[in-house]
Amino acid sequence: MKLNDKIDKANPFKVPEGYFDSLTDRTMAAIREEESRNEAGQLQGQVPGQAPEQAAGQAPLRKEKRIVTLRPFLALAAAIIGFAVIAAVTVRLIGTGQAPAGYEPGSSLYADLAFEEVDAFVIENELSASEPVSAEMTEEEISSEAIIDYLMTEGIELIDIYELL
Amino acid sequence: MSHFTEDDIRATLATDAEKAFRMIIDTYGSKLYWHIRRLVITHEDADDALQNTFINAWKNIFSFRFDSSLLTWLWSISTNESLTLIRKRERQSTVSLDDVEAVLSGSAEGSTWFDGDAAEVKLQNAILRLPEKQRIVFNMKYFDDMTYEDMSSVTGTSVGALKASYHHAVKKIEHLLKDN
Repeated sequence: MKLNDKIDKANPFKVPEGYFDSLTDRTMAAIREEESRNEAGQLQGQVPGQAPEQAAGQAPLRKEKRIVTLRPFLALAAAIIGFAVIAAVTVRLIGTGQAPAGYEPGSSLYADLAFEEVDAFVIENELSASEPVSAEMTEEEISSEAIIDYLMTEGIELIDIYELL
Repeated sequence: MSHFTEDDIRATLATDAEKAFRMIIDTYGSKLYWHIRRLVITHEDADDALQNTFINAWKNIFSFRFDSSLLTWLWSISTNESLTLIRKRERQSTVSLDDVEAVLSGSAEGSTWFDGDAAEVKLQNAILRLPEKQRIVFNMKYFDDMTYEDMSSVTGTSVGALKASYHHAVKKIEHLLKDN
């Protein structure tokens, strides 16, 4: 069945009467409410004695950027301490290495590579000892449609496939 | 609702932000609503996502450099809001939401704002089975009659990829409709 043959483009979705006529007013009211909430949240963090900018009643919308600045010295100190902690942890991790079970601590990074070479060697040997690929499979032609369908079942979207081409 | 050109909106934004934003809602509100509604199905969710779209846009309007069109920018925000809402709804649901009936029965409004015959329900169910991006492309082409160039503009995806996606979506939907 072709899409255009049987089903016209009638819209089954309905909207309340007057929805679009009042959309702009309701949206601007929602924006004001959102701004009031944000201001109330910021007011709680303000130093007592600072005059709130918001007037009573329906506040006019403001498009000013509020920048909350930290005290410079505290911010700098926090950044230095944070960096030092991260650097110390990183150096310690590299120094001891991510050792597999039974591995002696204090060994160098290069010893890890030896384990990786062993793993790679084992995998290669397992593959070479496996059953040979059937000649029938190598001769089977897979259509591009089947490939696309398979990729899509794996969660890859068609747009992404074609973007890569 | 009146419609304004992007140049008019941009000129007004320089002197009266609130007035300019009202012009934006007047011009793009309906189009964005239907884009959202076809994705989220229920009116209440569409209204929520639309409001969030405009709140998000208001917060960022002065950092928007007009390097793309306003519609492209708003379309992107509204798509993200819709997909965020859908994912949140699916996480909170105890049943699978892969057909219209499931979505409507799980909502407060039920089928109050949905009035489709059996064929239209089948079509909407088939559309719901498409991957997210493909569903968006199908809706834009089939229901909104957008040109591939306009779709490319709002999605940032190439015309070729969009054509392929739409072609595949149509085939998949026809297959699903035939099976049902």
